[in-house]
Amino acid sequence: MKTAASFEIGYQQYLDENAKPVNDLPAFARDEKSLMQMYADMQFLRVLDKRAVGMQRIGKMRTYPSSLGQEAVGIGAGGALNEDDVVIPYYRGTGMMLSHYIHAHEILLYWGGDERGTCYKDERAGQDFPIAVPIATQILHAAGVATAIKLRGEKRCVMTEIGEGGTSEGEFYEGLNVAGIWNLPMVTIVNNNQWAISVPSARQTKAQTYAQKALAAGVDCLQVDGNDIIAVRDAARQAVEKARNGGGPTLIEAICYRLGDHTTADDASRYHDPEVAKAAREREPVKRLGDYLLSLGNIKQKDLDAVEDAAKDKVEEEVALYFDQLENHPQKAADMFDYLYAELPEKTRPQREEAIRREGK
Amino acid sequence: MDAITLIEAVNLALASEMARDESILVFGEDVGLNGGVFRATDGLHAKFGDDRVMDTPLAEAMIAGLSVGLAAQGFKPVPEIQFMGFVFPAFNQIATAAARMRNRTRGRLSQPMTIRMPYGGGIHAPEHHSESTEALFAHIPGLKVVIPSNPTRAYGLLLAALRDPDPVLFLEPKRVYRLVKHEVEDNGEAFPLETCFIDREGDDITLVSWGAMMHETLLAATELEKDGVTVDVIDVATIAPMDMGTIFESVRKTGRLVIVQEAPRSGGIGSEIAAEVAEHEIMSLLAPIGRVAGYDTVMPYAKLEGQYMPSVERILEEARRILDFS
Amino acid sequence: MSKFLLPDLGEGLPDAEIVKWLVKEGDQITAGDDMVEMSTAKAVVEVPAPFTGTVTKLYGQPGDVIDTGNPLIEITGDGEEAPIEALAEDTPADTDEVAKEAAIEVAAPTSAGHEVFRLPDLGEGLPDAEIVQWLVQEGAEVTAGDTMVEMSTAKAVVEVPAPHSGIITRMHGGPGDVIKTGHPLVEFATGGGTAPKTSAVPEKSAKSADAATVVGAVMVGNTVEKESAVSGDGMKAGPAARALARKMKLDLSGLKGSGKDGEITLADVRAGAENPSASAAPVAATSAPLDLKIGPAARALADGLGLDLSLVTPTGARGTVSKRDVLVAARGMIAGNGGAVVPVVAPGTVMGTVMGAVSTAKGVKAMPKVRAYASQKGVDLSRVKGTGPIGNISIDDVNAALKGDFAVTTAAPSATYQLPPRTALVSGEPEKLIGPRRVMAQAMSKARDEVVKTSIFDEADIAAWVPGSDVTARIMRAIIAGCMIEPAVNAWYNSETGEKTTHKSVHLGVAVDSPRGLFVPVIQEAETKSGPELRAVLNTRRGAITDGSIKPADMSGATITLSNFGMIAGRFATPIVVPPEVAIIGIGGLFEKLVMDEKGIANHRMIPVSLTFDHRACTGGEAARFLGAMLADLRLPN
Repeated sequence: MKTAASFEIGYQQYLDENAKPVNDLPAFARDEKSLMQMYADMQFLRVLDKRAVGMQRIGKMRTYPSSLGQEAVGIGAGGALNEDDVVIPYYRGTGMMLSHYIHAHEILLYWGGDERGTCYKDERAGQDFPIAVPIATQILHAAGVATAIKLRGEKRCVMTEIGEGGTSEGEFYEGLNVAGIWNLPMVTIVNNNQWAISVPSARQTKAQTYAQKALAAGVDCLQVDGNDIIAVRDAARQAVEKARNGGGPTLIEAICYRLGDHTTADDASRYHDPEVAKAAREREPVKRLGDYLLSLGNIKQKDLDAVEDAAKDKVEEEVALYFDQLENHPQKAADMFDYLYAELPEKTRPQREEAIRREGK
Repeated sequence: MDAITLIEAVNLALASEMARDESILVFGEDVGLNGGVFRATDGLHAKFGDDRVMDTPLAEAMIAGLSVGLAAQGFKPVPEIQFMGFVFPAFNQIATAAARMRNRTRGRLSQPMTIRMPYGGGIHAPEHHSESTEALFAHIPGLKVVIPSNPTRAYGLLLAALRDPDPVLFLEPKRVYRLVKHEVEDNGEAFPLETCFIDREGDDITLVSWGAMMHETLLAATELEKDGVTVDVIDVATIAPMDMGTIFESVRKTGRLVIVQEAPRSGGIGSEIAAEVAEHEIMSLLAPIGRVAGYDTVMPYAKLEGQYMPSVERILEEARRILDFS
Repeated sequence: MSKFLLPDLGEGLPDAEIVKWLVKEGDQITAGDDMVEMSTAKAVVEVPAPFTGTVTKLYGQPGDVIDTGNPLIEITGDGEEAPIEALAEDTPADTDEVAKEAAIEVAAPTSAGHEVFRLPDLGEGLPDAEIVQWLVQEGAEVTAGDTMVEMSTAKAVVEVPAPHSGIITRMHGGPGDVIKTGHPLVEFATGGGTAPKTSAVPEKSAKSADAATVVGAVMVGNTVEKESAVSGDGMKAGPAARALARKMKLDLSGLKGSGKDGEITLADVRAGAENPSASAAPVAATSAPLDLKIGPAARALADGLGLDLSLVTPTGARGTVSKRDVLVAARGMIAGNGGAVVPVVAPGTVMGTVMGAVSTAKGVKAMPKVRAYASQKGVDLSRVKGTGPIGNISIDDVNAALKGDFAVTTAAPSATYQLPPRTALVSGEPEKLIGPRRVMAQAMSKARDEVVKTSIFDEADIAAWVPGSDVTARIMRAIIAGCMIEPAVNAWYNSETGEKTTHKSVHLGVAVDSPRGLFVPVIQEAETKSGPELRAVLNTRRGAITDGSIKPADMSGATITLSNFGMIAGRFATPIVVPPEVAIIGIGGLFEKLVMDEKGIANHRMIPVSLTFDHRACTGGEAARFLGAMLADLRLPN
């Protein structure tokens, strides 16, 4: 029996679990300012998530998905994007969205139940999609946007994200397949946080890695340590450059751990092993980068605390904007109708009138 | 001007509009080199090349999902789903993304796509190739559903669909793909959507239908005219959003309505028409509203197909019952 | 000997190509053995022998294309000779004819000497083909295989070869004629004996197109149809242009047609939309007079009554015309000019009757449109016989009730009425009452049913009158004076609602006799008019009745009525109070009476006055007070 094909999946890590470099760091990671920015970005996301979950517990927010423990994935990958690239986020894509000019208050508005959250006022986010609720549909949307970019011969790419559970969906495979055969400028991040609600990764697939699913479509792939933002950022930068320059698609599997519940409507303590979770907390990305920064000697704990405080202030600003929009300028009944078609059909107009008439009653 | 069939009219409209509008992309299974299994896209690849006419891998969800991405980027995707029976994997993308993108982004992103698919029975095809499930799509807000009944309308309505800023499902009744020819001028004139077409005028009874059934409905009308009955025959054409005004006006005149549909009876478009007429024109009715429809069964295989499809006889029977009522 | 025709090997495939014969002529073959390999659009297929026997003829060689339904092989056998049918699938009822034709096989020689060759299916389920040109003539001798005719199908021009040798005896059709598949094309006289040598397939000059469907069989038709461009309005515009005009709410008559024969095209409609001077279509489907808000039900009622809407005074919310407004206006309306036979709705009867019809309609089987019609006509549906299958009432049933049966419009059911038997002594012919007479019969019956009539009689001494007094004017004035003093009799009573409307203004109805029957024109606001003015208006009304030009508005709205029968004969009477009025004054003939006055016995002229009132609505005192006031005024010199 001959070997028809064989494969290897690469794994990339720069900072180990003790925050010690195991490889020569890439240039951007040797710049403290750049690392501090990454730290601040992760802290902002963490503070935002905590605030949002807190709001939900007091009825000021609807179901919200926190990224606790996974901040390096979204921020790491999203930070590699250029202004003119396009983001097709998944429902836990807060980090990637924040990295591409989508405001925190817009994200809060969406989860708070207000469609204006996906208006994306910043022009640079003008082509980004809202999050995808039906799992894995975003992979095909990304392929479609990437096809558009390719047809127009533009030097841009598309980045999308999916949980490891989502890779079981048919549309994931369909998206990778067409990305491969049409050489689409598309970077797919698999956030392998070990849990698909209550289903652990070990029961999600027999494949040894999630990355190798890309090989089935002939797409380049690798694994990275999802708790190491430098590894994530480096892999993403390379994939983005490759895609923008016509090199085709890449799939990056980032391995981390979902420290929080699936969403605010979930209780992970029902299925998380407390010992495993405790160990995971020691490896988490904000701590890892923080420990590394401290180890360089120039930055002190108080500096890191200051970053957290600054994040809290900024989050409060965004929360204020969220409440102002939601409560002082709520949407009107007519908004249900005015964005349905370019022109509301005649048959539906009496319904709009009725809704307006009933408003507030 | 050549006399052409409905499928040729589809081809003509596509070629015509693709020459005018560079943003139109045609893709799907077998649409490129093969010109489509029904030859709908015949010659387009030769004329417009790989970048505008593409053969895709075999994956309907992918075809629809790609359209979502392309449309959001300003292209006008015109994907073909090879048969309506295969649309279900694509249904996810159509319903959860295409139909709602404009609404959920408050107008920031839109979905100017036209999804073409052959639908309906009557060609003795294998299982799953004969369904009429237009009601499923009509029920989703944000979508438009358009069904031509003859070559002239196929040309004009397809142009309108291609120019519409919102997602349109263009369902082509394959039984009449080649049944009849019309002289169709390639004049680039789009027909209005959300408007019914009146094919015959009369005072005694209104027959409403769409798609392939228009053929049987018009034959039934001719039979009724031999009895001295005059008939208003209306082609709905745009199933969603529907033009009720034309139907109301007709019922006001005749007081009698029979709806003819190939699709199963319950929960079909006929139900919507009947409800609207009962709500708005009850005072005009001289008889109950009649419906001639497919049975509420799975579409049978080829052998029983003839017993399932509404025939001219069934339409006549129902029309006479309504005419004779009270 | 049995000829086996090539079956449909796939889904509606039109033909198949012979790859390889597995038998040869003369071989013995058993049913079920593979006999030939055929290639279809999709695959190579082995076709088994249909029955056991000896192969006598193979039709075609490897590479030949055989059409579905055409002969493939001939086997002479004595075993199971099941007749082989092509696997034509059932078709929907309305295409049966074509399918049958498509499945008809090329006829084997029916009898030695004569044979009819039918047009085979030249392509994929084609229903017919057009003769382009004959290459033979009647009487010519042909050999099997010679091309005899060129036929044109949907896809190509095809040469059809002679199926047998023989002499052509008849050709069906000439160039341009369309022959249906399966119908006779050519007839031969055959000498018999010559084994038919059918060429495998007519040569197709065009490239063979496939079935152009990956599954099933798509019917191909050749009929060229056209959308009709005419309509009841006589304007030339196709359905699409009309549809667009409707959508844009444009009136077609305001558009210029640039198409053939002045046809209005889509482009013309669009151009018309750009130009605002093109007339906009009337907004409502019903043609309302401008500024009049009226709903469909009230409109339907007005239409049914033949009522000019401009005469209606709206009293509904926001100035809408209600059904009641229509009925009020219709009171007293008469049959149209020229004697049109529109049933008159009698004054005073409409409201009560209509309300009765509506309220007693519960449980009656009638569609909404029929109910509306019945209510317009004042018909009580509970008394109408429904002739529909479930006893439902049709418009015809309502009309039948109106024509024949007075009982239908009254409250009291009557016993079956029997006329005396018709004998030679009966000298008159029954004549149906129509128009005002009919209305009078109805109205008076209704009045009898409802009104509680009470009468008071008196005489007015008019000895003091100045000479030349206008009697009728004085009477009218006296009534007005009486109403001013005692308005209780100048009123309407609605028995349904129990409401009495006492009027300040006197709209005096004056009964007028005419050959056509009883008319009661109204002098509106009589209290504002002097005697001469009253006279003038009365004369005008009389004149309008005579020449038929009286307006409905002048025949409705009376608040009290005068019946001056005395000009003909009679002294005292009990005239009928017609609801909703509550009083009527009857004036008899002037007479002279010897009375005692301060001078002694004198001869005074007297006017006999009869007052009938509805005791449901007026007291005796009110009636008497009115009468007294009226008499007092009559006694005045002027």
